Amino acid sequence: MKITEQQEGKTCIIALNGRLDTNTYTALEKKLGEAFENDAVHILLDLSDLMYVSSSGLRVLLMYLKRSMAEERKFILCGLRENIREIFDISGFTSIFEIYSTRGEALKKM
Amino acid sequence: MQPGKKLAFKLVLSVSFVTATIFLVMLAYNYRISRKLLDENIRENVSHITRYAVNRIEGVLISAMTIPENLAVLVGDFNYTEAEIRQFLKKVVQHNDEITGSCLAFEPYAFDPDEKYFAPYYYKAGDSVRYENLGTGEYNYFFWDWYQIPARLNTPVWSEPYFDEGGANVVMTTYSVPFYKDGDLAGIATVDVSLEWLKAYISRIKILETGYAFVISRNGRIISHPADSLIMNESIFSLAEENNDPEIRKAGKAMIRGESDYIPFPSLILDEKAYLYYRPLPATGWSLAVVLSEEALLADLHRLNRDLLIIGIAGIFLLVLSVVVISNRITHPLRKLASATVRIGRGNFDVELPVNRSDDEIGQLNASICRMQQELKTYVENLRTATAAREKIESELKIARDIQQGIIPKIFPPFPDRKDLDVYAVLEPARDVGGDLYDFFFIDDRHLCFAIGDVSGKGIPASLMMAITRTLLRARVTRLERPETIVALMNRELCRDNDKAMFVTMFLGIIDLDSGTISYCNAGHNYPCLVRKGKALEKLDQTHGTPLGSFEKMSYGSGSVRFCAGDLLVLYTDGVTEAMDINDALYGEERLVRFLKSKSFEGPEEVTLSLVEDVREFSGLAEQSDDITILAIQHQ
Repeated sequence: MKITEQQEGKTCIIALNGRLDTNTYTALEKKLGEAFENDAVHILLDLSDLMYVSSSGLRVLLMYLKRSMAEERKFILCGLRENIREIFDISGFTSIFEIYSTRGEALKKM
Repeated sequence: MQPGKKLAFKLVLSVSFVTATIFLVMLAYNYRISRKLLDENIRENVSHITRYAVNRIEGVLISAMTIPENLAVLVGDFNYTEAEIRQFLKKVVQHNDEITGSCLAFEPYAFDPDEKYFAPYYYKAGDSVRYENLGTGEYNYFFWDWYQIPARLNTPVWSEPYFDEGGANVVMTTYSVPFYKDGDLAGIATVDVSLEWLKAYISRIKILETGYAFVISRNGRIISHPADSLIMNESIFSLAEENNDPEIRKAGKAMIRGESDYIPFPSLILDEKAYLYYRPLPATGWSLAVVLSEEALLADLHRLNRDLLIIGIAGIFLLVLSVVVISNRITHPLRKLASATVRIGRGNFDVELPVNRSDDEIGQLNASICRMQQELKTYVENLRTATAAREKIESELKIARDIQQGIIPKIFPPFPDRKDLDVYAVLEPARDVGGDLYDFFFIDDRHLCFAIGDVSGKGIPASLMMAITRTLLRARVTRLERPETIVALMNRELCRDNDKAMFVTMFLGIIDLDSGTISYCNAGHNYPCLVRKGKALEKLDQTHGTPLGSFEKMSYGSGSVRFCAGDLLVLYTDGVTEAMDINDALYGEERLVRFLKSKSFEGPEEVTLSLVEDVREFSGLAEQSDDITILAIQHQ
């Protein structure tokens, strides 16, 4: 999985490309950890190029969602593909995450 | 040859071949140039020697020639008495060492009109000088060559050398000069010259070790030669005849013509190849020749070449020896290194490596192999430790898996007494311990509680979480309650101190066997399939909340569905739908639905096992990455 990072004002945009599973979730965990330590107030995860997410990946997302709630930051997802969206729907995560279809839409809500 | 000696052999072969070639070329070149120089040198040398010899010989002969020439002038111009002439001649013979005799032979009646013969002759006999009048009745000198030839030719003449048999038994030659009175021939003045001194002088000429000189007369007769037997007995032409050699004859002709040359020549006394150098003696018309043996000529050169050859061979031998020594010095440690590395390769890291502290390439190789040995040793030791540790962990994981497997019901059929219900389940664990779980139990006679769940992640944390979840479930469901109540309760418990946000998806249902309904709560789990009697398929596609442990304040809803006799409920975890083949394609829900619709199953056991079979078939050789859990319940 490839992770790219981009700063946009007070928002750190992190884009994932590939599969977020047992083998790759630690990289994301590390990257998000860094982003939370930095000055960036809000985090936007762009999942447009994410092909697959496993429960290990969902756990990392959940962990940082909880942290952002505690620290009163925004932690927003965008660009979910259909299969990813399905996983979110089934697991009920759609109801707890703030999700937008495009990056632009998400940035407007920041 | 030992296989390890090949390098040395190749080196020796190529080095000795190349040096031998270079050496031979140099030797040949040296021989050619030296020979040319030597030839030029010898030619010059011989030229000097012969010129000197010619001058010496001519000096003697010319001083002898002046005697009769002076006599001729004196006798021609003045009238001497017989006594005066005899006195005169005697003194001449006495005081000139180079001559042996002298004569004044007059024409008939020229000295004394009464006397036909007058030829006073003085000659040396031992220490004394004797007198003889040559003109007698027996000895008519007018017809002898020494008299007749100059008289007829009106010119001084050297006679052909002759053997003086009656006198000193030596080879002599006579110089005859005609003298005149009032323009008429009056007689011949002569001196005799012994050629003994010439013989002695010629035999003293030595050029190199075997070279010699000889002299031939105007006619080619040998008049001086180191071999006595040839003198006067042979001429150069008779020798040519004897040896049947036209080259000798050709040389002889050139010699009597008064020419000078340096030519290859068969030696007359040396039976080998030789060279001839000849030079004329102009006063007499004779020719002086020098014979040089080629062997003697080239002896020094051959000695030089032989010495060079010996030095060269010794040099090549030394070179080969040093190549052998050096290549051995190179290959010996290499062979030792090679055998040591073979042993290292077999796993013997304590092999003692040869000590080589030199800073050349071999020393560097030695040092790097030493380092490699140390590093390998450390690496293998680390690997052993790591492997042991991993084996320990793996055995612990196996124990953990056994415990995990032990806490879920695994005896089928679980309720052999009950005719209205059949349950079957499998949990095929992946290589890593996973976090799948299922459970089912009767709350009371008519209510069966069942659940299937999947803990996020894998490994020990997941299996611990799974064990906790299962324990919680059993602890919380002691009496009949709403499924969403149970789920909410468990959620709160699992959210407590859950920093790592571990969560469990769970589908929890309660079957009322009497009314034929299932009430359920789905906490983020995959949607189960309900296969109706008669193959119609329903998906229980409702999510009532997020997985357990994920969100503390989550309020869960519930659903309800009919569950009649013959209906078959199939629950599964994502290990089924996300099973992958070798191309990373997912098994997927569509295939699952298609499979369940494809035929009618006899019961939970058949549907479970054949579904596992289908998933395995799909995955092929791909490794199973997640637990595969299936729980099937049929109302009968």
